[in-house]
Parts: sequence; C-alpha cells; structure tokens
Amino acid sequence: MMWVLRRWIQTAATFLSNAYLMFPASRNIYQGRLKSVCTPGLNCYSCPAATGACPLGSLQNFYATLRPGLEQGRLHVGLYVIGFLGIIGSLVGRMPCAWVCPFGFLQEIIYKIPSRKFEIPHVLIYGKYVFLGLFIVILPAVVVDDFGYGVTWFCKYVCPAGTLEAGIPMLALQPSLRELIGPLFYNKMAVLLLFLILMVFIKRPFCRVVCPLGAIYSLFNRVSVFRMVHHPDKCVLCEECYRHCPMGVRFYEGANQVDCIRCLKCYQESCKFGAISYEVAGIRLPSIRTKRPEKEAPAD
Amino acid sequence: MKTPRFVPILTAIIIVFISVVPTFAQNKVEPIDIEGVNKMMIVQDCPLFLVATAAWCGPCRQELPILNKLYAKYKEHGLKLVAISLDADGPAGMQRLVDALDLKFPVYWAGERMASAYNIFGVPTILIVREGKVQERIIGKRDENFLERKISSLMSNCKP
Amino acid sequence: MKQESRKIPFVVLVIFIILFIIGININEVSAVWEKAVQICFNCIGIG
Repeated sequence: MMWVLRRWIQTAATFLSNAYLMFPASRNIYQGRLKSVCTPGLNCYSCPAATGACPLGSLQNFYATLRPGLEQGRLHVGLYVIGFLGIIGSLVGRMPCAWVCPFGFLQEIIYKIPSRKFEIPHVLIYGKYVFLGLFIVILPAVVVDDFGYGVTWFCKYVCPAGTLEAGIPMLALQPSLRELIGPLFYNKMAVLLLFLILMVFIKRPFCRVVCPLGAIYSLFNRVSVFRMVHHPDKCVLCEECYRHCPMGVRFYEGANQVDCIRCLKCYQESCKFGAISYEVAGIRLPSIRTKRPEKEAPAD
Repeated sequence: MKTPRFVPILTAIIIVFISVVPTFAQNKVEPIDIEGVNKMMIVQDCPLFLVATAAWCGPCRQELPILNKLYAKYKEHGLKLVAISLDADGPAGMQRLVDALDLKFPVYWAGERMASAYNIFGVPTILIVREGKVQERIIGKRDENFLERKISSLMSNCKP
Repeated sequence: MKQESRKIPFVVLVIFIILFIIGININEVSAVWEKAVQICFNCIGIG
C-alpha cells in the first residue's frame, strides 16, 4: 500500500539523514566528507547525528559571507546548492517534503494526536516566500558587521528544526554549553514549542507557512517532470481529497498548487472518481495506479 | 673570471631580508600543519591558550578583540595565546580580521584538518594546553569576565 | 486522449544541472562542507 510505503520511506530518509549514531560516545558531530552533500529535506547539520548538509543553512552561509568573499575575489552565490535543489525541483517539484523531509514527517506524526483541528487562513501560505526572501537571502547578505559578514537569520532566529535536532541534543551532550544559554535560546525554544503545539491542531503548519525549502521546491510544481493532473470532467467536488490532504490543499481548485507535496494520498486513497492522476513529462500514467477504493458507487 | 665568494652570500642575505621585512610590518597569518601545532603544544611552566577560530564565524569575530585585550594585559605575565584559523579556503579571510582588529598574538592557518586532529566540533573553541596535553576546552564564545577569570587563575601558578 | 510530451521540464533541469556544475567548479562544495562540520553555536540558539 502506498501509505505504508511512504511511511517507510519517510522513516528511512530520517535515519539516513541522521545516520551518525556514534554521537553519544563521541559527544561530537559527524565531520566526514559526506557533509559536503546537501540533504533534500530540512535537517539541521549541527544535529550530532546528521550525515549531510542543510541546504538552507548552506545557502544562508553563502549570502552571509558574500561581501568578504567578493573582497577576496570570489563570487559564491550558492550555485551548488541552488543547482542541487533545482535538479530535484525540476524532476519532482515539492515531492521531497512528503517523502524524505524529517521535519515534515514529524509534523504528520504529531498531527495524529486526537484533538479539534483547525484550518489556517489561506493567505498565510505566502509567508514562506517572505521567509525565503528575507531570512535566507536578503537579511544575511545586507545586514553585515564591520567586516562585511552577515548572520544566518533563519537558523539563528527561526528554525525550530535546529533547536530540536541540534540545540537541545548538544546541550545534553556538552554540559559546558549550558553556560551559554541566553535570550537567543529562549526565543528559539519558544518558536519550537509554538510549532510543536500548532502541529497538533493544524496540518503541517511549518511547511505551509514558514519553510523556505518548501518555498523553493514549490516554485517547480508547475514545471516539474512529474506533475499532478486534475480531470474536472470527472470531479464531483466532494472534497474528499481536501480532507485527506496532509497540506490542506483543495486539489480541485487546481493541480500543482504551491502546497501540493505529491504525497499521492488523494490519488491513492481519496478520489473515487478518477479525477486525480499524474503525468511524467506529459505522459499520463494511469496504469500505475495500484488500488482504487471500491467502497461505494459515485452518488449522483 | 672567478666570482668573488661574497656575491652569492650577499644575494642570499638580501633575498632573506626582503622576504622577512614585510612580516615585521604586519602580523602575518602563516600556514601551519598539525605537526607544527603539536610542536607548539610542548610548552613549559605557563599554559598555552590555543584558540580554534574562523573568519566566517560570528562569535569568533566577537571574541578575538576580547582575546587581544587580554593578551595585551597578561602578555607580561607570560600568557601564551595562539589562534589557529580553521577556514577552508586559506589564510586570506583570517588575515583581513587580523589586520582590521590589529591582533597582536600569533595567528596561524591550519584549515579543517585542525578540527579532526583535535576533535573540534564548533568554533570558537579554546584549548588550554599544559605539558603537551589539552587539559581543558572552552567551547563557544565567552564574555570578557569569564575569559579573564580563566586566564588569571591559570596564570597565577605559572612562572614566566 | 491527446498526449503531448512536455519539453520545458527538461530545459529547466538542464539549466539547474549547469548551475550545479558551475557551483562545484568554483569550489562551493568546500564552502558548504566547512560550515557543515562545525556547529554554528548561535545558529542553534546557544551563545
């Protein structure tokens, strides 16, 4: 079943992104060559177990060191990272969010806690582009110190994944670091707690409102090789797809919206009318469909 | 015709002089290998404060002026303070900081190999070395009071 | 059903492959690695 497959892949990706399990003994982070490769999902590279580099952390560092780099005659704008994300994006769009992002996985798990659920105002989904533009690119490049260096704004003031995966574990592993706890840490803990609470009540709140990585991938949703297809002629607007969607997307309002993460849940589990399918480079592949719910006949 | 013997000697002296003079003018960030660092760690009497740092690291840039101040104050008392840059792309980035901050203590560039050799996972990290061994680590940026207390307490029982 | 293969995704893909290769050639890989192997303390809320 697709659902089980996705959970397995999410679990495997979380462990592969965090496979350095020596850290309790070494009290250190992994420092090997693999760390020059970015992970496709949001995974803090200061996490003691992390095996790869965080694409967002890397990008911010490129922009934070842009000016001193220019003074030393090198123009590093993060083409390596942009190229990496663009290759994934142009192949599958926002699919990594659903299948390999550890932080997305966490949000789906926490949402399973029974409670009253809430929807967010639609306009908030554009927040992630503000975070991408300001916190990843503009502020790190523009707000600089006397030597021309900027700060990794997103990591420093926002990223709850960093607090969860790196801040808290490092404080546990290295007690002397506890002396450094200050307002910055309390701010980051507050952000983390806020999101942990929101995750219970709202579907993937971080992905939809804040995540700059999702924002980058989302730009490729319409042009990627792999794309979702909506068949309005078959759609009865039953909203089953919306109810099952982990991102709160109303698929019937348009395939390949910015928040569609191609988890294929609507295609596999929700739509009984065959109104949802996907294509690869324009070639529709309805034959791959493995299972269709056969509970009831479409109501007229 | 035979060239007088003093000509090559004189040439050598001039070359050495020319290459050495600029290093008097500025505190030059020289490359160093791990063996060099190991050798530097063999210190007698007073402890060595080995500061692992990097130009791109924000807290490091805040800490270097503090260390410079403390170095000026405790140099007379025998404080040995050496910074090692872990920047991946050579000593140029650190040299800019050394010049701008007018750092007086020696600064070397070892690159990332320093991290694996001495198990450094975050910059700044100060290694406090005694008799060739790392006795203590101060991980992360500390304020002036903390560093001064640390230095003065360790300097009290050493004879310069 | 009319099925037309799309070429735009591949154009986009090639553009980003080129950017990726340029990035590698101007030594951006070591810049990523250098930051990834050292914890940025103030990035994770410490210090």
